[in-house]
Amino acid sequence: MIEVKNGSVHIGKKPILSGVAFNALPGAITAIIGPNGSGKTTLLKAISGDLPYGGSIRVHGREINALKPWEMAAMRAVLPQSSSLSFPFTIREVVRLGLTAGRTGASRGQMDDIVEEALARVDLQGFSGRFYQELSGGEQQRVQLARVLCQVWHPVVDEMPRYLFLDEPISSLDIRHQLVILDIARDFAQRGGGVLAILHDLNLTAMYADNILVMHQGQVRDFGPPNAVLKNDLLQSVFECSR
Amino acid sequence: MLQTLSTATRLSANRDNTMGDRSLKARLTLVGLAGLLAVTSVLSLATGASDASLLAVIQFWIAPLTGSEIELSIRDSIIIHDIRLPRMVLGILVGASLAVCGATMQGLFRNPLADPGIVGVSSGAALGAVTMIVLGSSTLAPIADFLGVFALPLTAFAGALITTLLLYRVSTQNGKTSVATMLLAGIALGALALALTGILIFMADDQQLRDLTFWNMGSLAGATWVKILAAAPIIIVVLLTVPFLAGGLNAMTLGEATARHIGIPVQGLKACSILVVAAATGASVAVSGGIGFVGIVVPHLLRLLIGPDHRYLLPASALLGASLLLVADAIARTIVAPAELPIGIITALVGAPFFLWILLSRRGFLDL
Repeated sequence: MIEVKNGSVHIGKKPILSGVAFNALPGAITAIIGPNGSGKTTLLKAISGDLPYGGSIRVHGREINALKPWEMAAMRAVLPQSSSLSFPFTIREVVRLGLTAGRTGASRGQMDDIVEEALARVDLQGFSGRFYQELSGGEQQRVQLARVLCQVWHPVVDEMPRYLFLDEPISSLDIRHQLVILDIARDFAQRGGGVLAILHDLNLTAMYADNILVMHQGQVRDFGPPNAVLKNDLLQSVFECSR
Repeated sequence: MLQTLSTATRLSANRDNTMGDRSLKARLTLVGLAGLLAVTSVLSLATGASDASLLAVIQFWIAPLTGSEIELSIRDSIIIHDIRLPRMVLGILVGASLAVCGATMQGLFRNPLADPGIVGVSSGAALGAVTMIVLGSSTLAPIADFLGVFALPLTAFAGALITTLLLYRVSTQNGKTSVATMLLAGIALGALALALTGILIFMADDQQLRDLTFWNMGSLAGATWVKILAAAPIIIVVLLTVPFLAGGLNAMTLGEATARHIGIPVQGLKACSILVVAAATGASVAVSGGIGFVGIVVPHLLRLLIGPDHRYLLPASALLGASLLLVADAIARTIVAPAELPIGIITALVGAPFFLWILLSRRGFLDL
């Protein structure tokens, strides 16, 4: 379980997040929603171990700022909002980087199979010989997701559930692939892993999320299952639109 | 037109579908490059201003294997054992070191234009070495006596280290390296180091000036076993260390944050890479001066051939860098024989246009 208690993040002296508290359970999709600039990405970065934070953020009971990068890598994989690649790697080579952490317990041959399988899941079978730079933005995003999936290929290892952190995983995708990706997330959760995803599409959020965290101005406005959270008044006040 | 081209590329990529795994090709290339190094090594021993022939050299080397003995004249023996052999060994060490430094630095900065020679690190190393040459007999005498033959490589290392740290500090903010800032900061740091070097040269006496001349161009001409003794331990340690950085440098191509997410201790990787580049650049510059562009040309050619995977790129760079420098050196000492062209001129003649070519072909990638 991921537990955030009184979580805060400052950049310089400016508070970006304050008093954030919620739990993300394994076996569930926890969606983070909120308007631009409400602190969603900052929150996900803090939980990923990218930012210094105040309060407490624990994964499986361990404070994350005390964890080594490779310990974190064994517990969670992170899909950033946008990715860059500085040298011309092939798709296979990029996806294989997800297995760098080396805690998959897979042999060399199995690793190749995992790469193929991961590409098939994101609907990119047959792409492994292509160069990353020649793909479209949406295709690149799916390649990155395949890489991330490889890192936590088994949602549960030694009875320890693992997590997928997804920062706007579907924002550059067409509707078919949005559903493909969210189905992958749901499958991951159903097999015992946990998913924490920043989403903008409220309809899809309502369809897929088990719990929703509503962020507004760096604070949590509400947290709970979709039918309890997705209410008109709350959404109108958070997103500041009344129509 | 553009569209047809890109379709054609896609089609061809699908047709010779190796499914994106270039590791077999990379391994074969490594074997080929090892063979190439063997050939260029023999070539290096066999060429020079004097007429010691290739055949004589080969016969001399093969003789112990066949049980026969071949007498080599004292003159030939001196030419081969005290002049050409140390020169060959130094060429291999320096060539491997320059190319590996280039590849490591490009991985660290995530950019194919990063190279110790271009971003001022070599100038920093030269400043360190010149400081020791000029002040080693006066102000810095205690340090020079204490360090012995290692005085030059170690002060060059210090100069390279300071420059690399400054460069990284200036050009990297929040884990992102600005290419433009890196290149421009490199120019500034290089110019500063050059100016300080100029002041020291101004202070130098005639003998020191003679010692200093070769730094202008870079040369393997002064190769001796003592120099090799001073540089080899550092370069060999570096060459044995870099394979452990390969996985991390691969992950770094996705950016620092993602590398950390994958489980790479990014701070440690960066510190280690900077140390390794500074050490090997310092050692190379101390014994051979500023030989440019090897660190740009070699990794770039290899990336075209076997891809950017550092697990193969780093050892391949070492092998090809060594071969390339041996060939350049063979040209340098035969083209105007019995005189000798500084090898730095040859590498710059080939390397500078090459650098421009990379710049033009990747203009879209740079925020210049």
